[in-house]
Amino acid sequence: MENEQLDMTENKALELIENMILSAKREIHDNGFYFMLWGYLVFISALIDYFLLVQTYPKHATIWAITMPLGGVISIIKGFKDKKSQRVVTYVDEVMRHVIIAYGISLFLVCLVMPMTSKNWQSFYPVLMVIYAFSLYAIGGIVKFKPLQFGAFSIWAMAVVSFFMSYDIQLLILALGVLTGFIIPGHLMNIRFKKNV
Amino acid sequence: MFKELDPILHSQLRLAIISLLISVKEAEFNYLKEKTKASSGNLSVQLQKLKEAGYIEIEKSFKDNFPLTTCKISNAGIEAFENYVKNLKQYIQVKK
Repeated sequence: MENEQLDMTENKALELIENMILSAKREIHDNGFYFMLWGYLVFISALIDYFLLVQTYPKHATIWAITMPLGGVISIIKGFKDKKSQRVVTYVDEVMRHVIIAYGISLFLVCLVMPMTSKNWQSFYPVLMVIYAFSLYAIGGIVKFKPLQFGAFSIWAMAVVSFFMSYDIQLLILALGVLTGFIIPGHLMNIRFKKNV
Repeated sequence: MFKELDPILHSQLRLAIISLLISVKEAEFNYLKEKTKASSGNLSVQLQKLKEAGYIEIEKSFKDNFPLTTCKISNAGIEAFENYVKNLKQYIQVKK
């Protein structure tokens, strides 16, 4: 691009503005990694928990204590790596960051407080699913990715059903929920990302 | 009565930089270089001019022991860009 072009026509200037804004808008960083990571971790954990529960193994929920911190560590490492290679911060990134922080705090509070009161175990997974769906719907809207919002609706519906189910069935519903809300949209997002690179 | 187009913005490279920066929160020097296809020297000069006009903020830091320049549009830059587009539209409408 040349240094000074004061003879640039008005139409040319408008075209340039449009092209640059469009070019910046095309920045898609999200390759669906976090959706796939957390989707598979929750999916596997829920199924293992379910099978150990039906086998009447007393510490059936121990798997969560392994997989969830593992997911946290992987996410933090990936987050640092991504931040290093990120050359531009868009407003979408900024809004996403706030939504993810709000999601993380909500999830942390639910996971911390609800198990303390055993009578609330019945609604633990359904409440988690409602929070999952809330953030999926918001993120889907921000990044304009419909599969995430369809996933959110399916998780909301499953959460409602789940409130009326026993704990073991809730685990199966949770596995199905993350399959439709995280794993499938995550893979679709990854395909979209590869197409745009 | 037509207002004159801001001479700081009515330059191809500076207008490209501002148009990119208005769309993002902040951008690194190499990102701007890639998008505008400008040479490093030319880009540096134009960034400096925009900074002197108060239209952008430039932050210099280090990333992996390499110098890193990050640019961000200022409130004055947003206002100038909005006025520029408004005036540009007036010119185009009259020419139609």
